[in-house]
Amino acid sequence: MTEPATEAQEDSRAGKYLTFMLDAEEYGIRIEKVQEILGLLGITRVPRTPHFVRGVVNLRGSIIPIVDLRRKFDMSVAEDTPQTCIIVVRSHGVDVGIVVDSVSEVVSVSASHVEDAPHFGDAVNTDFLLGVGKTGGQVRLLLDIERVLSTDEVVQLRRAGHDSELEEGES
Amino acid sequence: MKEKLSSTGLAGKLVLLFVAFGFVPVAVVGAISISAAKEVEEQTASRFARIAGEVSDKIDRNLFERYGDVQAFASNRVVLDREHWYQASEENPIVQAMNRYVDIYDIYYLTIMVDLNGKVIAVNTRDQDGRSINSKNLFQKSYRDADWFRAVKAGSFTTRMPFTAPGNDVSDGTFIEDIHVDSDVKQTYPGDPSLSLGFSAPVYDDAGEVIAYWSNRTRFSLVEDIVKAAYDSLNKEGLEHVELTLLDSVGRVIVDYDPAHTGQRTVPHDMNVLMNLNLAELGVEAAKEAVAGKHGHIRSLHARKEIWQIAGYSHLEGALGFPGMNWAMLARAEETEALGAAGQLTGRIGLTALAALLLVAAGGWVSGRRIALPLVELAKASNRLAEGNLDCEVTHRGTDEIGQLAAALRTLKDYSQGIASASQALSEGDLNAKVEPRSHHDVLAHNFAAARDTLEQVVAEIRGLIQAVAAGDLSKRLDANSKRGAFRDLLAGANDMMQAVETPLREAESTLTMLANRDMEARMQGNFHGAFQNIQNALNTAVTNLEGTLSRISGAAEEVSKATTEVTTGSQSLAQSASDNASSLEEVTGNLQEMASMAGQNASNAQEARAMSDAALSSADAGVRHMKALSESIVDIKSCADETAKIVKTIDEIAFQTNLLALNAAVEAARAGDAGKGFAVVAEEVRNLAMRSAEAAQSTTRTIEESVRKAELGVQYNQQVEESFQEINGQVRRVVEVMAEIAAASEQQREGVSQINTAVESMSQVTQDNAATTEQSAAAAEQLSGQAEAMRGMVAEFNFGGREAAHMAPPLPSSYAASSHSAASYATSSYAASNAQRPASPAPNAANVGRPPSNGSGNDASWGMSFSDDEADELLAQF
Repeated sequence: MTEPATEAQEDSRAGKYLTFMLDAEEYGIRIEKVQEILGLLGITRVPRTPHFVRGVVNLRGSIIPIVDLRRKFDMSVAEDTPQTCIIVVRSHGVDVGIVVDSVSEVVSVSASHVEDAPHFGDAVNTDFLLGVGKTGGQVRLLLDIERVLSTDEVVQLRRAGHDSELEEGES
Repeated sequence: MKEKLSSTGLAGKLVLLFVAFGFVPVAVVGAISISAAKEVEEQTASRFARIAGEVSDKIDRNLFERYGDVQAFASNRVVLDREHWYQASEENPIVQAMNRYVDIYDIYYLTIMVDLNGKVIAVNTRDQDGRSINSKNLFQKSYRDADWFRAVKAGSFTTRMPFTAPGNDVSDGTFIEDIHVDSDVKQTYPGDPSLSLGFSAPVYDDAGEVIAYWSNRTRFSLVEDIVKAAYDSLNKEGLEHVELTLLDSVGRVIVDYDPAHTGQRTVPHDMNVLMNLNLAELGVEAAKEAVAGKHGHIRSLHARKEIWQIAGYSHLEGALGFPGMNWAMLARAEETEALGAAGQLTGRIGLTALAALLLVAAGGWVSGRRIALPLVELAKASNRLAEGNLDCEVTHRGTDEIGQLAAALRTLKDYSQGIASASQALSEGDLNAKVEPRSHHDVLAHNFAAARDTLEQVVAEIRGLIQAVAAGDLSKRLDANSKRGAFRDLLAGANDMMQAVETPLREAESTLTMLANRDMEARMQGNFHGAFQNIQNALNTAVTNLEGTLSRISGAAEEVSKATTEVTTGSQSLAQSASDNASSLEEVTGNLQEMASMAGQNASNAQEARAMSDAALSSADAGVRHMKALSESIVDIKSCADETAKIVKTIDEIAFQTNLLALNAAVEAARAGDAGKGFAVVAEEVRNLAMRSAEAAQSTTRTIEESVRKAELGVQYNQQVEESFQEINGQVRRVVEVMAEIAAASEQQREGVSQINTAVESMSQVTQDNAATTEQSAAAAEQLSGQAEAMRGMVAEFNFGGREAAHMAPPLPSSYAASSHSAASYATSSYAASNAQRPASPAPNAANVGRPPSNGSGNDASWGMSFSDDEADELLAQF
């Protein structure tokens, strides 16, 4: 990473984050990306989609694809609990729901509390992390949701949502 | 039995005589008729043999022509046209020739020409009526292995017979196949019986070389038609029931034409019969003979119809040099029909002869019996009379010698019967029986009258003596010297008997007179025998016994006197004992009353205990009920807790939703930037509240769970307490039962004591009665003593010749003494015992021993007081 980029990032990374739990770890998403937080709705499975896509939900008339973040991060699959929530985020201009274990709070992270993600060598890609937040002794992994869901995937997701919207319209 | 045999013999002999004279002419007439019938039969049979021969000849001649046909066909020059060989078309000239042959001859199924290898050159394509037949596939066939092909190729012909055709001077033969079902014909003519004969011969070219072979499949119906035609002609001659049968060389049926039996004018094609049914093997004589090559006729039993037939038969030997098929022809008809009137005549003559013979036999039998029967009867009656048997009847009457003989026999029988009945009357005591003499020569009648008179006189004498004895006069005697012999002995014997009876009776009379004067020394004197000696002994013994008995009565009276004294003493001691008993019984009664009151106390105590137990039982029941109510309450608490837990869960969900709302609000606030800062604070507060309510809900849940757990514990404890109460309940119930048993037992005890009390009272009463009775018994004993004294005085009045009665008496038998003693003890012991029932009844009197028991009605006392002389006599009369 180059210096000027780091400086530019330092400004942009400070701000408010929505934190959530995933497999005993706490993560944060920039609040600007968050559209809405939902309880677990009835998810309709869509065939021929990647394994991390749980399906789609009908949110007030619009169809939103749902991504299981545990599967996306290759974690062990867990049963849904009453605390399981869907966070609706806007990525590449598309609303996408991500399933998390539970939602915690909205926190402000100042620039001084953000550090770069540790480097594990070239073989390990950590691009999807904005950095690591450390407030009150806790470590939060700050996700760049646009990178978590790549462009191709979002296009695929949009199509999945579109297809099921069409099917619904037809039926 | 013997008479019967001789009578049968006599009758039989007469019958035989009649039959013998009748039989000869009948037999002669019969024999002549039968020989005439035989002649007719012989002529008829010869005719049948002739018929069979004629049909055989026709068949042979016809087949001879078929034999030649094949050679003639083969000599047609068209066969040399090799260009058309193997051509399966009606344009083939060979086929055209063949079709023409079949059409003209009307008797062929197939004509086949094959080359030297058996391959078909040509076959006809039309049948005898010009219709198309499906023979095309035969063109594909090879006959290399067919029998006829091999035979003709090898030159082994059935016979060699010249046949000369234009341009052919080669002499050669034909191979013949006997009747068979041809497979080619069957295929070409479906539905046809296909019975065929085969005629095959070689085909020569102009140079005389064999170039091919020709074979004809000939219809067997041509033979059947010959048979049918023969039948029709016989029918016209009047033979309606003839059966024509053609057999093959071993005797199997190949044609059987019998319209009279089948009712159809067609030749039947039953394949179970044709070429199968072998008449020769079945034992049909005509068939056997014909198959063996013979001609002739025979009378035989038909195997199937089971009737006698006349059969003509013939063997087919060929004709005109044709060797023939060695078949056999039978012409058969039922014998009766064939012979017609001649046969019936024979039967009729036989029947007539038989009837005549029977008539003669019957006539002889009747006449013979008419003469023999009366003689037999007379012989039987004479035999019976000779044996003295008068039970015989002679019924025959007549004027001839046999009739006279019968009348004399009847007279003799009547006279014998008269003597017999008079003798019987005499033997039955009728002295008036008489027999009239038939002449002065009648010795039998005179002697019978003399015997009767003598018997009458003797009877009158004895009757007079009997009347005197009956009137008590024992001194009468009879005049014995007026009669002779046995009659005199009889009268003298009656006098002796009277003397023997009179003497002992007079002696007994004097002895009894002494006894009447109370002289006990009187005895019957004299020397007597038999019944008179018995009377003497009995009378003397009676007097002696009377004497002894009187002396024993005197002794017994003394004994009675002593015994009554003992009875008196015993009665007094008994009275004392009874009074002791009475006081003891009173004591017992007192104790029993005390016992009864204690038993009553027990019963009432038991009742009280039972009431208390009942109270305890109802308390325990109440306890159980309350514990049940408690259980139900706890269960209710538990269900309330469950409801509360549901509500808390709802609160928890609301808190979660609120949290989400708060977070969403925070997100919105954050997105609003500075404008949303105030709202963010509010959202944070709401979120905090939501978190707190969630925590509160969780702690409530825990509390509720704890209380539910404790309630369950309470239910368990409650169940244990309830079980304890149940146990108490059971125990108390047992106590109640036991108390009830005790109460019942006490009640029974009280009852028992009361019954004992009653018994003791009745015992006391009995004891008192006993004491009174004992006193009565003592009084009776005193009376008894007085009566014994009176009896002794009476016995002393008898004259014992200066001896004391007691010393005179023979010693008392021990049993007598014992019974006397027991009578005394009876008076002391059992009298008291029975007194309760019969207080007024007196004791049995001691004088009663050896006398029938008195009627016990209470007049014994007066009997003892007035013991008069008359009564003593009566007592004596009993011995």
